[in-house]
Amino acid sequence: MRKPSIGAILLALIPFVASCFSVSLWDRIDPMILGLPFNFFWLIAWLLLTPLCMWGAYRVEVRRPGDPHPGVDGTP
Amino acid sequence: MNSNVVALASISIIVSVGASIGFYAGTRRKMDLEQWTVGDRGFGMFLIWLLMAGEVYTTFTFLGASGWAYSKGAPVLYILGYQPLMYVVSFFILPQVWEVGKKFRLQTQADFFTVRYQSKYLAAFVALVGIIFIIPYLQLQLSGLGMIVEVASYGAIHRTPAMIISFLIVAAFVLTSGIRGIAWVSVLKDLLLLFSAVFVGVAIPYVYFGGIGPMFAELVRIRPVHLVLPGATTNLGHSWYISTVLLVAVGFYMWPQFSVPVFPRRVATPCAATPS
Repeated sequence: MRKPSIGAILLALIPFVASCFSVSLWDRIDPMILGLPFNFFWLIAWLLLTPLCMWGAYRVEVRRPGDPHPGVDGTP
Repeated sequence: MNSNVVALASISIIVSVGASIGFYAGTRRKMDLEQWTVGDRGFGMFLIWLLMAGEVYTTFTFLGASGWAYSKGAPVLYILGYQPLMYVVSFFILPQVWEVGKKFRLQTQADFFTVRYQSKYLAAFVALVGIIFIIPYLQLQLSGLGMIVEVASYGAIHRTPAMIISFLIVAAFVLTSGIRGIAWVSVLKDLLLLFSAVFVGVAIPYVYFGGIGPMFAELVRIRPVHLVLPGATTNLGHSWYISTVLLVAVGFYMWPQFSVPVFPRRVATPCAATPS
C-alpha cells in the first residue's frame, strides 16, 4: 500500500474547496445561469468538473513507477 | 383500463422481472462462500459500477431528497455537494481496500480491519457498529419502499404487505444468488431510476411551469429565501453545510454496504500499487 502523491492530493482538494469550503462565496441566487439560481448552477458545474480533477489525479498516479510488492500491513 | 389496473400491472411486472433477474443471476454457478459474497472477484467495470450505483441510490434518492427540497429548500444542496466529493475520497480509499481484500481474500468489512490493524476486537467492534447502524437504515428504506408502493398502487397494496413481500423476495434471491443477484438486479433498478428521475425532473417543471428555467424564475418571485441557505430552516446555514458535506463525504465508506462492493472487482485501479 503506497501513499498517494502530493499532486493527486492537491487535485482532489480542488473540488473540496470549490463545492464545500467556499459555500459562502457562491450561495446566492444571482446571476441566474441557464435558468438556474447561481448556487444550483455552481454545484451542477462541479458535478462535471470534479471528474476532470480526478482524471488529472489518475494521470498523476499512473505515471508514477509502481511498487510491485507493497506491504499491506502499514510497513513502508 | 383505469389507472389503478395499469399501476398494479406495472408494479407486478417490474417486481417479477426484477425477482427473475435476481434468481437467474445465481444459476449455472457453483455457489460457495467466495462466489456468494464477492462473486469470485470476477466482476468487470460495468457490473461493479452498476453494483455500486445500485447500493448508493436508494429510496432516499426519491423520497428523502425531494421531500427535503420541498420542505427545507436550499439545504438539500448538500446532497449535490457531497456526492462528487465522496467519490473523490473513494479514489484514495477503495483501491487500497480492494488490494488488501484480494491479497487476503477478504469478504466483509470486518475482515479488512482484522488484517489491516491486526485486531480481532477492533474487527468485532466494526462489525457490531455496522450491524447496529444498518437497522434504522433498513427500517428507513423499507418504510420508504412501503410508502412508494402504497402511493404508486393508489392504495390498493397497503404498505405493510408491500414491505413484507418485497423483503421476502429480496432475501430469497440474495440467499440463492448472493452478490451476483444484487448486481444484476441493480441493472434493472438503475435503468428505471435514471429514466424516472430524468422524466420527473423534466416533465413536472415542463407541465406545470413550461420548463426548468421558468420554474426557478417563479420560485425566485414567490419564495427567494427558499433557494439560498438556510432555506426554510433557521439553523441549516453555511457552517452546517460545510460540516455535513465534509462528514458525509469522508465517512461515506464507513457503511459496510458501500465499501464491500469493491471486493468483487477483477482488476486493479491505479492507486492500488499493482501497475496497470
